[in-house]
Amino acid sequence: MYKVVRYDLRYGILEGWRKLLLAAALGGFVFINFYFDLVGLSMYFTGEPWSFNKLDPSLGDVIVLELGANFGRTGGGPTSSFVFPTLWYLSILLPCYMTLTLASDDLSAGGVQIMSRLRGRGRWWLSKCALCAALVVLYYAALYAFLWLVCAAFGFGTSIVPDEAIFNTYFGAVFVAAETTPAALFAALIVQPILVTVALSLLQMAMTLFVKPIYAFIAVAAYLAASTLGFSPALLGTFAMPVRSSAIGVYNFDFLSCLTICAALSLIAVLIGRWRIAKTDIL
Amino acid sequence: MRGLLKTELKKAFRSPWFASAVLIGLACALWCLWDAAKEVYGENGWFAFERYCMESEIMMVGNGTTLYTAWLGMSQSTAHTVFYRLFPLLALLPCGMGISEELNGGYVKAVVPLVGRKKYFSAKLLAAFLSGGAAVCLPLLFNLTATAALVPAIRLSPYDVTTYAVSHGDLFSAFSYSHPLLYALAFIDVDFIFGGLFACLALPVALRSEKRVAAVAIPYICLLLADAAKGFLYFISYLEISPMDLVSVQRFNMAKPWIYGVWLAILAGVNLVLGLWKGAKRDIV
Repeated sequence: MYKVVRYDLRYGILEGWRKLLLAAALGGFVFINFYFDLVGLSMYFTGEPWSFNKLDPSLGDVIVLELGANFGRTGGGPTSSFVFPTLWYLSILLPCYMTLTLASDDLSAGGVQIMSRLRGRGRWWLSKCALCAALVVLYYAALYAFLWLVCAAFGFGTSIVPDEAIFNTYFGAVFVAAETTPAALFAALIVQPILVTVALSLLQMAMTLFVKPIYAFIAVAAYLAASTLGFSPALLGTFAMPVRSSAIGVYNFDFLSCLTICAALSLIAVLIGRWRIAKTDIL
Repeated sequence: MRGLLKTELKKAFRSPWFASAVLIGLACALWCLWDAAKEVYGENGWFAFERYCMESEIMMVGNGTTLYTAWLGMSQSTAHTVFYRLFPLLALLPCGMGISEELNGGYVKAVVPLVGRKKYFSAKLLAAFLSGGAAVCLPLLFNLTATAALVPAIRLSPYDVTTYAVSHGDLFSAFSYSHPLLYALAFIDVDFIFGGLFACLALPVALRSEKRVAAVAIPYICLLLADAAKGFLYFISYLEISPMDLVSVQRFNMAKPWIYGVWLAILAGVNLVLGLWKGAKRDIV
């Protein structure tokens, strides 16, 4: 078991390193978006478009403003129209696409031989799940590392604590994160999106054992899109939105609930996948 | 060419991918219809409010829920958000998977010697355009007609500007208040054209990638990136530049006709240069 996990992780990551460049590319795009947002904020605070260094922006602001999603529709009519959080959506959908065909591609290549050598299909499936989770974690590590580097290069703060004035202006909401511990903020801004993406990727990979991969991808895309307007814990995407987390304090989607739900869903995905692969005719 | 086109259209419209794209769209259309029915006939719906106003002798302002604010293209429901986020995927699905299969399988090697590369790729693009457009328009048409059977088609008044997201200078805004049904139908036509052009984006990707899923997912991710770039102009003007928001009637910013023109030119250029031209020059061995 250990050998197959090691083999999968080594070759899966070595072969998939180009996919991690996508994370860095997305990081670059996120930063450009943040830069344009800062121009607007700078106009608001200072009356000049390019003096945004006076605002003291940090890595926390980049994550909350660009990857933090939003509060959903807060009223009726186009005057309070809902703006879809595309960057947040893309940041989760991209790793889902990266891990979409891990199992189905391997099944149509050398996966069947590995299963017979392992004398257990379950072990093969568990190693694919480990690779899927590892790729998602590496994707987020690359994304945040790139953002950290760019923030440092542009002279922005590298702390993950968002600026109160920027938050208040951008979201038009009271900022209560000042009373939150750095650990809680780290969990909400960094860990929760990773947990949700791992759970969704595993569910998606388990779905690919039942339906064609593109349907699993569409199901995840629809589920995530529905999460942007819903405020139910059943819509897992809400836990991946830092602005709706208990650390920011408006909607109170807390870390412990996120951890419990994500762990339960990941376990269900692993068990369903294991059951399915045991029943599949691989000859 | 006519026989080839007929075959390609048959393949596109009779494929299970087309059926699944339409079914997913219809699910969103039914979901939106349910929300509209609740909004009108529900416990706290518009009819209940109207009764309350008449009993309490309160003057009502505006029309509340009408067909023109409740159909899938204009609704503020979650179904609308899900449908328009999946819009490019639904358009890409009917031909995207098929194109990749044919280019990377043996089919193209058998057909191209008979009809020529240019004719083959032209027929493929045309079939993708028509099936992609139809896949997104059928759910919209179904929803418009089904909603019309349930929700009164009261013509909008200037009071409804709070629920009707059409502002001065927007595409077709000249007749959006005077002829709202015509406006809705015109927008379905716009969606057909954009859906068709989105669907054709599968060809440039399929020419470069052997993965079947990539032909659908990569154009979708590119369109999402274009959508995410809509904030780039906010410090100059609140113009809608996202291709994914331009296809929806319910949007946040002003949708000027020239922006539609620019996007049509970009999408057509990408499809013709990276799809048709590159495809026609491709060696098939």
